[in-house]
Amino acid sequence: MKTQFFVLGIIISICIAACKESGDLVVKPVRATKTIEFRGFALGDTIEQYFDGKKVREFHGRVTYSGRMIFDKEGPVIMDLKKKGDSKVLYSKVFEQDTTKTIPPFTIWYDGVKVSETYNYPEPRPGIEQIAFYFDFPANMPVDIVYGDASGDVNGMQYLARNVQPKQWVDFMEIEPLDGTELYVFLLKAGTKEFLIQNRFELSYIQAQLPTTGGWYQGGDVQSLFARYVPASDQQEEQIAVENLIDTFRR
Amino acid sequence: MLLITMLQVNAVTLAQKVTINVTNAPLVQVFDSIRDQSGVDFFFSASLISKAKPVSVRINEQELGIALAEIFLNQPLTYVIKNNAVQVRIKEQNAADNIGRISGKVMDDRGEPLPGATIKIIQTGQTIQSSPDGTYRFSVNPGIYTLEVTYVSFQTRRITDVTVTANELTTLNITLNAVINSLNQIVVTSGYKKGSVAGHYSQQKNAAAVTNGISSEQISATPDRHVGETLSRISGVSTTDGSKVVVRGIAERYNVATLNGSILPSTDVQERNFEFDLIPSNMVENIVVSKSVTADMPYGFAGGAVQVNTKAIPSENFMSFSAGLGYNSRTMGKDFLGYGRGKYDYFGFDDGSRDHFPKDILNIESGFKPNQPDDQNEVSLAEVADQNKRIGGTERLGTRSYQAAPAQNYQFSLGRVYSLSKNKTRNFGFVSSVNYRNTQRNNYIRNMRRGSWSLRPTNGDDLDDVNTGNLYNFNTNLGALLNAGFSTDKHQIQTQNIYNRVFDNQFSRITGWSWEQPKSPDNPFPEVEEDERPKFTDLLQNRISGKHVFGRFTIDWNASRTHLKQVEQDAISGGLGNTVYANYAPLYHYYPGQASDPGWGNLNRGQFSYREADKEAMFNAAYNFRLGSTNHIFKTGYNYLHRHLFYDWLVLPIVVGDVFRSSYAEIPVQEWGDHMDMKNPMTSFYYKTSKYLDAGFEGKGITHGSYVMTDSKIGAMLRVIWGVRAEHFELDTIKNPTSLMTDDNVKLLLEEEKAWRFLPSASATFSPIADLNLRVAYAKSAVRPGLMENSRFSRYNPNYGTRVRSQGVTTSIIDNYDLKAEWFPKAGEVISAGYFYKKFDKPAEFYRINDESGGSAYVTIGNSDWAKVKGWEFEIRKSLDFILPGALFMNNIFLTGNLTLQKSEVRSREIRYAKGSDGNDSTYFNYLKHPRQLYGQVPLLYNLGAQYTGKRFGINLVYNYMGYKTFVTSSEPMLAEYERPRAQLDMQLSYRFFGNKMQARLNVRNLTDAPYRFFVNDASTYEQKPGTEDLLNAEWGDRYEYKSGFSEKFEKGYTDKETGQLIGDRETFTNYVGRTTSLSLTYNF
Repeated sequence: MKTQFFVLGIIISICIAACKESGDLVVKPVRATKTIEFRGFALGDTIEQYFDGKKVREFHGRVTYSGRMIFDKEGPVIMDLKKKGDSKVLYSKVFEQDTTKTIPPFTIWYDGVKVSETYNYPEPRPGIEQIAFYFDFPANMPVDIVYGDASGDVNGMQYLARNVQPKQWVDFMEIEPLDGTELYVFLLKAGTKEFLIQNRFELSYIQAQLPTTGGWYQGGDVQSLFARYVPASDQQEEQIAVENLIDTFRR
Repeated sequence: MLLITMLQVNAVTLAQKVTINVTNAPLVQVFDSIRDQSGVDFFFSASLISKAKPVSVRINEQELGIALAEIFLNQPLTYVIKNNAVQVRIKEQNAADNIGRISGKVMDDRGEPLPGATIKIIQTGQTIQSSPDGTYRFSVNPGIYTLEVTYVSFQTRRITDVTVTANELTTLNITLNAVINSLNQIVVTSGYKKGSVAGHYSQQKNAAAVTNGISSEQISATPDRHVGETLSRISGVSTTDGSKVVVRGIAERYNVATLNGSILPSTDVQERNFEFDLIPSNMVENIVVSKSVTADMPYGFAGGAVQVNTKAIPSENFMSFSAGLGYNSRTMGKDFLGYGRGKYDYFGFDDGSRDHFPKDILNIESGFKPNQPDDQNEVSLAEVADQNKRIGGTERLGTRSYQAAPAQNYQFSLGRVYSLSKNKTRNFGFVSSVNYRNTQRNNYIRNMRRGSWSLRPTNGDDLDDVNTGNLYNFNTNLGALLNAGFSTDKHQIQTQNIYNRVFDNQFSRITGWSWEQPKSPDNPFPEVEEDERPKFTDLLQNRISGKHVFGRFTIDWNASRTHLKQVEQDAISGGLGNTVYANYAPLYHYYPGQASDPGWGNLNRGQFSYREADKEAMFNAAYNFRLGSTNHIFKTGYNYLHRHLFYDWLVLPIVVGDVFRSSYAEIPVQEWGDHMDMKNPMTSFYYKTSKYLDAGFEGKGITHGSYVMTDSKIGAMLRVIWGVRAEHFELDTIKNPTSLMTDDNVKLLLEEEKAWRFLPSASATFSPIADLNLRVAYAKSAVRPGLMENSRFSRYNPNYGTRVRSQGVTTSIIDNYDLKAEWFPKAGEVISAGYFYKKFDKPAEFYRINDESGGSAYVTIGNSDWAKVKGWEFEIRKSLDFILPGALFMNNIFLTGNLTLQKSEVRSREIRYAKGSDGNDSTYFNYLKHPRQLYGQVPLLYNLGAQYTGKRFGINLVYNYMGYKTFVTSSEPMLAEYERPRAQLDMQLSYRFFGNKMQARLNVRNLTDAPYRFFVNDASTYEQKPGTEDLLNAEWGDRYEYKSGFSEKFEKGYTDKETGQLIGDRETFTNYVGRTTSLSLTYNF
């Protein structure tokens, strides 16, 4: 009988001991906030951004964020970047909570393999336009890069590069001012006289600045053009979207 | 070494008969005589036999077992029968420890108790008389006895083979049949049939009304924690959420609840419903559900009267303690969320941390505008700041994550009986019990698409566009019971007292997109809605009753008072918005209301206090007389019920003058109270009250009832009961303000007349052979509106996802017709089939209506025009002894089952509002005749069970199935909501230890983790026939038509390829409650 009461007493004690009245707040109080600004570019893959081990957002292509960061626990906040589908941390950054120190703006550059805070590109040279190309196109879409006037006459096009394969860089070309007043860059299907998108020049145009002898732009800048193929949808026709990485990583 | 005498070794059977006729003979001589006659062996020592007293008995051709009991009756020795031999032993010093008991109730063939019946044990000669409630009890040595029961004008009955074992109670309820021809004295002899289950079915067999029920023995074989769970075991009864009872498929509103015979108040503020989860199952002696009405029932119902009777005064002393632990598969090991707890939540009391509702609250809404200077406001900034301070801070607000504790329950029960006279029946007894239970449950809401939530995903293929959440329930139940009674052979007085304290904290947290702001690229993140309702309930019932027998007159009376106090203390309702930060996408935060917005605001805390005091008194007188060979009881009585309730609410919206200038998102909600000093009137938080938010309802209901009825037994086969009840009901709403400004112009439809109603009833029971009843019954009954059902109070209900209000409810009158055939093959067994038909005039139902521009549909209660319900009911409880007759094992296996089938037709009546040419509001009705179920009704309901109860081990399996159920009705098909069929499987294993003193029970409830699933017939599954939009009086089929492949039942449908939208029935709510495993230990001292 004593044993039974003893066992019963232990059970009741355990149960009462389990009855805690305090809990952890689900929405943690904000201890401090800091403004934070970062820009960047993720080439080829999708990059996942984690803060304190919790995934917050994904990047593919251009990245910009300008806002605030909150601190809801003691100590710093740690940011990790990982390639989607891979647990390996490619890059980490620590943000201290000390509110007397601001967070300087920073950049993130993912070149398809590694993450760094800088994107290297050549120094501008007066009178010389330096242009690099990268085509984030399906594997079966090699292109020729041509330029010409607004008439869209494919026979009048001049070649900048031939048979450029998708997902490969065309390194910085040095282009001196070209004859003409207003010239545009177009894409052709590699080895053909056919414009890349529906054989329509207005859809196969990419936004790039070419220096001309008779035009208003004489060159001297640097362009790193990332072109992405956007398939057709209910809302729009298929098209090419272009971003200049130099705008993101301007020194 | 003692000399061991062994007379002779022979096999014996106890059934052998012996004759012994001796006076003062040595015991050994008696043994010799038995040995000579039966060949039985006796083992004893010389020292032992020297203690024997001389024996004087006259036994003539009696069974050996009975003869031995008589021979050893006054000996200091006892015996055990082992291996077909008798071993003689010394009796233990504490003889009381080895005493066995027989108790039960003597009734006539109507089930009425027979006071003053003479019960005699043939072997011992002990004779007693039954008390006014028909009960009796004996204490005797272990043995096998024959009881003889005699009563004037009734056949004498003799029951053989009543086995009494040491320290155990043998229950024996005895029914006597009236003597048809008084000149013949008939003695009916039958064998003993065991158990309270048999007694319970005996009551069912002999009841005046159609009844079903469950005994304490059956309750203890289930895993049920409270009466709400137990009710679903009874034939034709099911429950919703374990608290609302559905009888014969008819919803809680049409049922009545009584505790020890006194009506229980509604515990649900906006619905007429007593929440049966308030009463722990282990405080209950039995539950009887009456499904047909007799004139002496002081209440009206259409489904059933659920009569809960607490522990009866015992027939023997007892003391028991039980403890149990439970584990829920969806609760343990997971976060358990809720707002700040108090120190005494585990004890069921508030520690003061929820006390934020002082008196003399200022009307801030009309007297203060934060953008105006003090001289233009009736209430100054300083006064607002002072009121904020009086109300107190917001420390308790904000969700916390707790660790869920296992369910635990403890109960201590004590029963004592005292005989105050050696010569006369003067018995006093009491039973008391204290009970503690704490349970924590986490229900997973997999899908919420009701009310103001988005009704469907923006894109049918988007699996993330779903509204989900959890419902956390923290429940502490403290109960105490004290029942006491005194009885003589003619009089009996009892008092029954029960107190229950329940702390029930329900916290819901739902994450999803609203109907107004569905998911879109601009609104990618869901919002969060939180609602916490910490409810403290005190239920106290005191009752005193008496029964007196004066020859052929029987008088009984009772008076009771029931107090219910239910306070939702610091109930909090709030929404969480979200903001994107670099390291949170998004971060959720609480946000206050805008001062200029009317209503309850985005975040409010409230106190909702419900108090009801009921006083009830009843007096019944019955006269028993004979006319020729017929036997009659004439009965008349009067009852009075006075109900008075108050419902007060004080809602405190937390607002700021200008939400855009306030940095509330980054101020923890727990610290908002620190920013209520009104130093900056536009950015300070403050509590905004108005006349709608600080008000109260007061209502009073008085019922006078009286009746006459006769209960006639005509011959041995026919019983006819008829009577009429006159009832006067008066409902007064003394204070009835609205809680929302939008309801100010809405008038209630109150058609309640304050006049006498006459409610006739008649029934006949024909028993062509013993154990077979054929019943037919008719009764008219009146279901009165609940006091709060006519309140203009309206409140958001997170379960419906919208607000619930009343449009006014009047009395429903029901004509009830019943046919039933019952066969009781053996004690504890029943096979029955029944048919019923009911016609409701003005049945009240919950409607979903969408008649407000720009708003989501709301739920309202109102009267439909009429409804007709017909149904079949079947029940079986049968042991398997017919497979292997005589095998004890098969005799202990019972199969049980019950089935209810029903069909209904309703003419719904929805109120509509319009503006007349004079500019005044007017109302009209929109009628629709529809072959549908009433609100809460279930067309198919069945329970299946298998039970084995051995000497030590027991197993019980129960399977409960409930078909489609109407959750909320509507004239528009896509607003009516149904619950999909649900099946639940429960199991219990039990084992007895330590000489049956300890019992362990392992219960598993909801073995398959069956969810509750609700749906609506989406508009994509039917079409309205052209030109029928404005029909005010149509049949459903005239107005609507289901598309091919769809019906009123759930059809999942398909996703349209072009639109990406679902074409099919829309799932509105899916809730998983988990599998609960519990282990309980009971020790009987």
